[in-house]
Amino acid sequence: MEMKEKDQAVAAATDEQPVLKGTFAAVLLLGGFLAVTWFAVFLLFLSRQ
Amino acid sequence: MHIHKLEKIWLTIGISMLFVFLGVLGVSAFAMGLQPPSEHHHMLDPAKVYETAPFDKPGLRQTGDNTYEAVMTAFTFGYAPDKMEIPLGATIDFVVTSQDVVHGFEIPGTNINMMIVPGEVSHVSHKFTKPGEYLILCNEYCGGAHEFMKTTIIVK
Repeated sequence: MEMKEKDQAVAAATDEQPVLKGTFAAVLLLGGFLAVTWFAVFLLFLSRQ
Repeated sequence: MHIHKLEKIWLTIGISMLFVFLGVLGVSAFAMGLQPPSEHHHMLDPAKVYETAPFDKPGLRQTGDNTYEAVMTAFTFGYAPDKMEIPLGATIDFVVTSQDVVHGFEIPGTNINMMIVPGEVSHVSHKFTKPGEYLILCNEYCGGAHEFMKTTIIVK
């Protein structure tokens, strides 16, 4: 069975370096969640000063 | 050492977030003077609260143009003085100690929330800009009637 074009690209990429697109998206989502909640709590603190 | 391009991006974001959070904390602490209520390390004998100034006469006294000092004691199950009237827009420096066990001192809707430890004097300041009745309540379990431990201050 022949590999699809995309699969071939992934195979070529993993030979040199791993594909980290999904990991990158997950890290950005987690980072965004942390930043938003941190600033939300900080703004709540300032509004009650 | 080889680092993946995407890894470099998220490491940069993570490290910058850390510096922003620490920066905000540092500016609040050193430039805006935010500090924990126990910062003053002012100690007294909890058995002699009644005889120790200023807690022998709890109440509100003017210390400046629009600043007041509210000297209060916490006990099972209440606060002294019982009720206080505060002028609108005044900054109140609360100076609180306990004469028996650990109590809480929280005013819902404000940033005032501190632990009152026997033998220690806790400080917190707040500017009251909205008129109304404010509830002071105990949020540290202190005994059988803990849930009734409260007092009110009136801002007008």
